[in-house]
Formats: sequence, C-alpha cells, structure tokens
Amino acid sequence: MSLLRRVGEHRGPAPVVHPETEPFWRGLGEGRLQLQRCTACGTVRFPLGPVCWQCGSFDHKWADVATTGTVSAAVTVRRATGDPLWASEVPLVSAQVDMSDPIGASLRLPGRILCDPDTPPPHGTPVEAAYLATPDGYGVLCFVLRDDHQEGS
Amino acid sequence: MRLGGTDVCVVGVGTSEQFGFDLGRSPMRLQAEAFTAALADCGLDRADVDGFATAHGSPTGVDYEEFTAVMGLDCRYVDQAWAHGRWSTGLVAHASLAIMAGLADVVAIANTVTNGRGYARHLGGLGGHGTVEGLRDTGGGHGEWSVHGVDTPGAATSLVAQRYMERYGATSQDLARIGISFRDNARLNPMAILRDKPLTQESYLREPVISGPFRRCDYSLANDGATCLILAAADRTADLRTHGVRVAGAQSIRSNRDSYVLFSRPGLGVGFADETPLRPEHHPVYDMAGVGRDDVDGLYVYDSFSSNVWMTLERFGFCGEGEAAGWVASRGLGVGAALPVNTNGGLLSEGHFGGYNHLVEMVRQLRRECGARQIEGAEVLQWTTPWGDSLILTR
Repeated sequence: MSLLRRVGEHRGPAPVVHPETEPFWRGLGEGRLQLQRCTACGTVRFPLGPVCWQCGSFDHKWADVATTGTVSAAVTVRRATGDPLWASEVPLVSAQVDMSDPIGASLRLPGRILCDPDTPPPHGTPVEAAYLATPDGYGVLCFVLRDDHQEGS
Repeated sequence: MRLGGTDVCVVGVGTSEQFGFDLGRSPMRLQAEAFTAALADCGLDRADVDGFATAHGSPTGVDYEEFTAVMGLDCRYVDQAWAHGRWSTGLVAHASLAIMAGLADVVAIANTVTNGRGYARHLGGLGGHGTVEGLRDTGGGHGEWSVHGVDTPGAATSLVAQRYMERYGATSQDLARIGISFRDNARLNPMAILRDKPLTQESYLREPVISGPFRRCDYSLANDGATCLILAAADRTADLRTHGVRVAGAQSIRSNRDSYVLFSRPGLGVGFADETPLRPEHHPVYDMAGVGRDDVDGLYVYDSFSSNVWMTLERFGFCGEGEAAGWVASRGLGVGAALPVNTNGGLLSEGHFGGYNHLVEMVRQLRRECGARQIEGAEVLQWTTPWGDSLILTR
C-alpha cells in the first residue's frame, strides 16, 4: 500500500483524538489510511466506533483501505461562520467521497479537496486520498484530484 | 393520539411580544412573555400548570428549573430535551402521553432562542452546535465535520442540496422558489421578521453564495424570541376561552444510519448509508389521526434550510423521488396553493423558533384566526421534518 502524500499543514480545529481512535489519526500522520475492519464479518467501520454496525462484534483490526475514490458531492465553503480558525482558510472545498474497493458495504469518507475553489469537482470526479499534518504528529484526511496527482508525481 | 380514553388538545398558544434580531430582552423575559400570553389566550392561571417541557436550555434559552423557579410554578411533570430544533414533535407527543397517563393535567411547552448578535451576546457559551458536535467521532448530526471545514449546519446541508441538485437536475432557480414563496407568505404575517423584505428571483440570484449552492436566503434566521403551547385533556376545554385543537396523530424522529444527517433524506446518499432509490416508508401518523395524506389542508415543514422542503415532500410521499423541485415550481407553496406550506413564512422568513412557531401557526389556522393568510376551511394540518417525525393537528 503506497503512502498518502502529505500536501500541507492542517490549520483548522484540532481533531479530538482519544485512545480508541488514536490509530486512525496517527496512521494519517504517517501517511496511512487505516480504519477498523471487523474480524468477525469483515465490515470496514465508518464512522470510527467500538462496535461493528453490521454484526455487533467488538473485535477489529486496524487495516489499510483503498486510497482512491470518486466525489459524491463537493461544495465550496465561501464564508466561515463556525470556528474562527477557518475564517482565513476560506474559500475551501469540502466533500464526501465514495471510496473504491469497499469491503462489505459502501465506504464514504469526508474531507477537503485541495483544488481551485471556483471549480469544485462534480459528482463522479476521481480523487485520491492525501493528508494534512497536525502539529501533534497526527494527520487529517483530505483529497486531491487524481489527474493532478498523476501529473504532479 | 389516545390512551386511556383521553384526547389531548393544544388549548393555548403565545409568543414573546415581538420576534426580532435584537430585542434587548433576556431569554427568561421572552419566555415569560410567551408563557403569560399563552395562559391569557386560553384563560388558565399559572396555578393550573402542573407540567413543563422545553428543549432549548441555557445560555441562549432557559433551563426548566430556572423557569419554574422564576415563574413560581409547582410542576409534577417536567421534561427537557436537547438544545436543538428537532424536538418539536417529541415534546408535544411526550406531553400528550404524560397527560393521557395522568402524570400531569396541564403542560406548558415553552422554548426560547437568542442569537449571538442579539441578547445572547451578553450570555456567553456561544459557538454553535455544529462546531462542537462536528468534533464527535461520528461528526455532527447535520453532517458537520469541523476538522474538514464543514462546521456549521449550513455548510453541511449545502452538501445535501448539492447532491440532490446533481442527482436530479434541480437548479438555483428551483432553490430560490422555496425562499421566495415563504417570503411571500411572511408578508401576510405581522409577526414575521422579514415581512417587509420582498424577495424575487433576481434579488435572490444577486446574493453572494455562502456555501455550495446556498445563498443567504436559503438559510433560516438567527434571531431572538419565544413561543409557548399549552396542552390539556380534551375534557378540560369546555370551560376554556379557546377552541381546543386536537393532537390527532404523531410519529417520532426516525433514527438509523440512513437518517443520520438530519436535513437529508433516506436514500439520497449523504452521510454513512448507501445511495439507493427512495424507498416508500409507512407513516403511521395518518392512521393514528384517521386521515389520509390527501386530507391535509396545509403542510408545515422544518425549513432551517430551503432544501429541507424537497427532502420532506419526497420522504412523506407528497411527490415521487426527484420530483420535489418540479412539484414546487408547478404548484407553489403560497396560501392560495392546492397545498399551502409554511403559511407563517417558516424558519426562513418568520424566524427560527425551532418549529414551535409553525405549531403556533397551525393552532391559529385551525382556530381560523389568521386573517389574510387564513387557509380556507382548514381542518387537518400536518407538521413534518426531513428526519421523519410528524404531528397531525385537527380542528
């Protein structure tokens, strides 16, 4: 599994990291997109949680998942009216992305798309996972346009 | 709703003296005004009230025990939900059940909101639900992800609207029709905060975009004001001043992985669940009320954002999947439409009072007190939300 590209620093509010979710955020800080995979039925959990929503099992292993997907919906946030940390970062594009190669059920992940805010990508646009580094060594998931990535690397 | 042979009615309604952006009055003052007005409406006395329920608590609203202490109430039933707008059905249904079960005789449901540019600027504790709840492991209940820059219900709901518009081909003109219709309705409502601010397609499209397809008029208002509803058993209404309006049917919020994002609808594919065709749901509220969907004389929708109207019309089967934008365009939402919607102007133009303002309007419509915006012959009115709860009130 190739490592995710570090594409910048996270300047928004810090993620809430606690022991049960730490592997997710730590993994992203190391360039790995890993989620909890149920050892009983194979379902990949999202959102993060202590129990498999499909079968109820508590057992899981942290496993690498596919890092490519397509845009389900993307919007350009032009005015930040929530956390003031975002005020200097807008306009920004944020999205939900349907990940490729899901195991058991669909996997849709949220994250920013680092692209021109005047042209947020339409439904179906191919994207690739990347990460923004936090000062604590964690990472925040984001995406880049897949064509951009191929051209840039 | 009926348990132990008792029907429950909304016997009194009231609001703060004004709704507005900055009224210079505390949440307690506003709620005291609404409560006092509702008592005067039906002719009951403070001493008759032995039940109290609210959702919005401090600091921007009022917690239940503050209110009973300040108002000198002696309650044997109290309930406080969570400082979100989503509990309107729940508070009414639970208060009705409490009366049916004998836990209380008369329940007041009062809710107050104040905003950061209004009285709440004096009170601290602001920041918005989306910002804080968007940091949960599951994200916020409207689909917020604060670490990804989607830390308000508006930004999150703009993703819902974006998915809907791309999937079904709805346009900005379609979105505009919702806000324009409710603004037109508001012009007939002296309490509506935006009653004197007409809106047209042209002026709508001139507004700057805030997030995704949403412009300012797709957002409900942030405002100050309070509402109160007083509920009692139907047999109490004989000696009251008002015509009791029956709580005829109710169904709760639906909660599951495909109803996680409140202002979406099942099957749309926003949030955690798969994108699927819209699957028809059974809505027991109609059977409980003994009416059909075609009997509904007016519809009231939780319109915190304009696109909620599309979600609700499709979820409750008023039109088919993907047809809501066309339904609105061809039929309209005004007082004279075949099915009037949000005759008060809604959260978009009367003001955001958690939907309790819609319930106040429904009661006044069924009592035929609404003047220029009266739905002629209103007998059956329905309250609905994108997340699946509903109330039916009948005359």
